[in-house]
Amino acid sequence: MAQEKKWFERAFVQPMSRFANFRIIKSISAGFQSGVSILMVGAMLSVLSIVLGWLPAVSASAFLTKFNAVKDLVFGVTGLVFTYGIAAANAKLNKTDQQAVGFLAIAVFFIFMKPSITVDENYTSVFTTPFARFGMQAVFVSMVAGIWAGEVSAFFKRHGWIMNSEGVPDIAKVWFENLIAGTFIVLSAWVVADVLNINLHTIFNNLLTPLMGILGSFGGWILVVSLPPLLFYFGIHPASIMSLVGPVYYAALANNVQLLAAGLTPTVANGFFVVNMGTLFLMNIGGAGATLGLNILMLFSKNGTTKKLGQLAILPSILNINEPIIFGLPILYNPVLFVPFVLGNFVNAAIAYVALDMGSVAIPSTYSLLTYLPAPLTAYLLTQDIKAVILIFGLIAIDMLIWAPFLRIHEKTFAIRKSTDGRKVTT
Amino acid sequence: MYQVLLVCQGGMSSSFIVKKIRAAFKNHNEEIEIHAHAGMELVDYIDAVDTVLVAPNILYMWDDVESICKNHGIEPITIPLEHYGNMDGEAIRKIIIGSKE
Repeated sequence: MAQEKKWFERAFVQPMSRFANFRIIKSISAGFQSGVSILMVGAMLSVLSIVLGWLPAVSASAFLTKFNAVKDLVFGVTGLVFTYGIAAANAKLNKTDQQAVGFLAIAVFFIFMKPSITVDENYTSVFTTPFARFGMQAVFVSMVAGIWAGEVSAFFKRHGWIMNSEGVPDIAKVWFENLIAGTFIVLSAWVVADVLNINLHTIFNNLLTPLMGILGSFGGWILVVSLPPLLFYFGIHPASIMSLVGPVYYAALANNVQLLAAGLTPTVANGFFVVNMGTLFLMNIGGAGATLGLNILMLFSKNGTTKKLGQLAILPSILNINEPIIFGLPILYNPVLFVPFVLGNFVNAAIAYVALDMGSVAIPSTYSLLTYLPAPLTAYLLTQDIKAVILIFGLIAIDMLIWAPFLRIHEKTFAIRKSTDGRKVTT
Repeated sequence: MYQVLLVCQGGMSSSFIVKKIRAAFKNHNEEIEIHAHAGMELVDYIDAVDTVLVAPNILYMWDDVESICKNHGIEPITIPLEHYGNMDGEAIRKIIIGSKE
């Protein structure tokens, strides 16, 4: 096993660690994570909206329409939230001021929106831009704005291109520190958006179709879903991969939400994307590697060690946290369990794709992107289709079948290895 | 009193471990102040602690973690895979106490 570990380290872990450690990648994945708080509020509003919809007196009322509007508004500004989150995370890594950089990124984000500001008959200036430019469709622009503000500020600071603030009170220091960099950041964004007349939103929207042709195809989807358990197996947290597929899958989901709001049924024929961020969250059954099925098997294991770990880990597993199993069983650096760890996700992804593509289950078309809720519940919130819940239970059963033979082999070999190590066998 | 920060990827899995560690200390009638946070937040919380534990799921950011800790005069401690996985509060308690001797 030591030999194997060394080979992995050289060929895979080191380059991937370097990638995961890359400042920009780290800022983006941390920025996405910091947006979770607002997504959770939105998801809570979605739950309330679903419950309200069940009440006959409320379901078709103007009240529910109003209620849904506030829900859409909360979800609708996620692009803005991610912009600040990414910029602040980047500032933290660059050891610059998080708030100052975050505010600059927001200014850049607004400039990239290319709004028209007109004065109406009451002398009120009116700001007009498509609402989509605030939301998930704009995540790509959020990334550009956040990283541009963060990296340029850091670059100026590193080169000492900051206003000399000797004698200025400490509290004002940070204002002056970012004055030159901030002016440059804002002006450069303005040159791109207004002087060169480049609309990043249109560019990304035009790129979305070809990108979805790759990442949204059956093959691309299988690859994206199979990658997290692979990364995890080699000791890299899969969050880093999200920064690559994130903007594409978020935009695909935003497309679906828009179509659903227009009253269309979520099918492929109506232009809904089978693969999107929601579908990815649908695959989070016990954490990367579909380990909920494994955990259920462990509860019924005759092996004392496995059973005890299963009992310890079941609550985290239900909440899609599988570190206890990954490190405790362990799955990490364990060739026997490597196969089902990757295979489980692979099979789940393939079955789910087919079920959604054929229209047997509604395609995820809501923003209820919650990582730490039990999988069947998330499935319902994402699709508002009870068949999605049945699909998840079916997948858990299939995962149990996949894991069962490998768990048995693992228990046998692990007991032998422990005894030959001269350590106590705790079976 | 021990003042400990445990960092993992998102601060989620570690919060389960933290509960177990607290329970282990309580069993021995010893006091501990321990919190779980995301690896990225290390710089925000390190000032208040004297021990930093690192979960095995963020060993890829070890270099960062180590340099931040060293700046604060702290030697970070990795939690061994099997203790972390088995949520073995007692074993981790011994590591924390051992690091202070």
